[in-house]
Amino acid sequence: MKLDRRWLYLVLALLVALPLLAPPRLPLAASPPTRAYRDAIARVPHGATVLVACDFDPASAAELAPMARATFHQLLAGGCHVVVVSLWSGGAPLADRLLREEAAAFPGARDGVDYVNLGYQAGNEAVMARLAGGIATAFPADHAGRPSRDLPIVARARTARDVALLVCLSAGWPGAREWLQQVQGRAGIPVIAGVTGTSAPDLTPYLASGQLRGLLGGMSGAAEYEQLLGVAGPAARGMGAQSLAHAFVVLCIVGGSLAGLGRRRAA
Amino acid sequence: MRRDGPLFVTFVAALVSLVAFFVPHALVSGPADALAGTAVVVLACGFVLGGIQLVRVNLDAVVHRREGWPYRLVLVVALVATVAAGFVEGPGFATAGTRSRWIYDTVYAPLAASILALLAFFVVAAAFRALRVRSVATALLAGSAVMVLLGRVPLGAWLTAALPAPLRLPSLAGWILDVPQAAARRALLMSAAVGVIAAGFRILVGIDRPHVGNDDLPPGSEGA
Repeated sequence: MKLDRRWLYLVLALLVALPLLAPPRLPLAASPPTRAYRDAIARVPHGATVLVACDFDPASAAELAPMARATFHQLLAGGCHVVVVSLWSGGAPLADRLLREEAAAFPGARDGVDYVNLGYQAGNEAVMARLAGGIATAFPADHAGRPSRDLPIVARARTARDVALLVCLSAGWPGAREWLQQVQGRAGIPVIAGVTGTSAPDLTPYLASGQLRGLLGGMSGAAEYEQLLGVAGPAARGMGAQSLAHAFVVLCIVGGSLAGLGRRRAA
Repeated sequence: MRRDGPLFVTFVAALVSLVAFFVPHALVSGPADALAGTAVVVLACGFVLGGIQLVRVNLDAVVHRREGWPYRLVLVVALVATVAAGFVEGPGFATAGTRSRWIYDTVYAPLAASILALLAFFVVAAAFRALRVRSVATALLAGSAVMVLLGRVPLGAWLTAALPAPLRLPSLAGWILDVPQAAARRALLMSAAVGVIAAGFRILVGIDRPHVGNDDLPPGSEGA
């Protein structure tokens, strides 16, 4: 008998939808790379500038938006100056919304002084390389169209070397690996990254070498980070759905193998 | 000369960019920064050319009622409407409250998220049909997949909480990712880097010159 794949789709849809409606309580332990990510931000001195590269778009927002939200929260709570850039055309408006929503929780934080979104710039690695020469050179205007040179936050940190930490939130190319190659190597600044679950294994060699100081991998990494910060965020709420979806994929692997074995025996 | 000029420009540009990576002196970093700026401008021009070509090709298909022309019409209308909204609004066109942002929030963002969400259904179907245990190698692959899938979510920790710490699923998944996976990934990275260095050197010295065409071919045969 052949299984209609639409049954699989229906079960998966239910397994994802139900835990989102009624999130179960599951144990969540932060992994060492997640703790290192949190600690790297915690070590940034009050008033220092942190560059956050939001290289993702709405397709990967389920994993990366919670990371971005929690990262902005920790940075602004620690009194850091946050400069957001994006090399993905679809990333800048999303980053803008997340940054403004988090900044609204800190009444003292002023746009252009304590945080800014410099928006999207075409050019991929060439833009990264230009940051070493000057942030305002690489991003002449911010997301709202204001000249970057006129912004106090950009005047304080003129080049990538003036940045205390680089946070890469990336979903592919150009992303964390390219930032490591182009900026970490040149400017020598500490780098941490938050990436999708599928691209996290790409960065494990950089984590082992110390080039990357901390890493959040996928929604589970975001959920662990939210828990460390004591924030009730969307990633932690989604872990029930992801757990059941993963368990169902495992059942499909086992079920498919047993079905294949039975068919071979019958033949 | 028709070929030597571009080869010389390639050699100088590549050499300046390469040296600037190791020598931060203004004499080198200045020209390298100018070259990077030029690359950004060229890439931005590429967007314009690409957009024009996209409209030309799809509009031609719509006019001649080729297969799938209604979809092409939607593409052209969406492209022109988005670009027009951006032009009308000028600098800051993607900030909150603009028409461009409305298009982004209500059309682009939900569509992009929905298309990627479909991947979950394909993964389930593929897991059932393709990841079947047929041999020792496929058993190793499927076993690793099971451990990583469960070990990376809280359910795995909950299921194996009674076991000794090294045998719990998060520990096993961590070992797979940190040891065999990282070793294989490092080997891939190193071999790819060596390949990139070799390919870059061949372009630098003019052995590979795909960007200058081929004078040896008769006219009109390059696209054949």
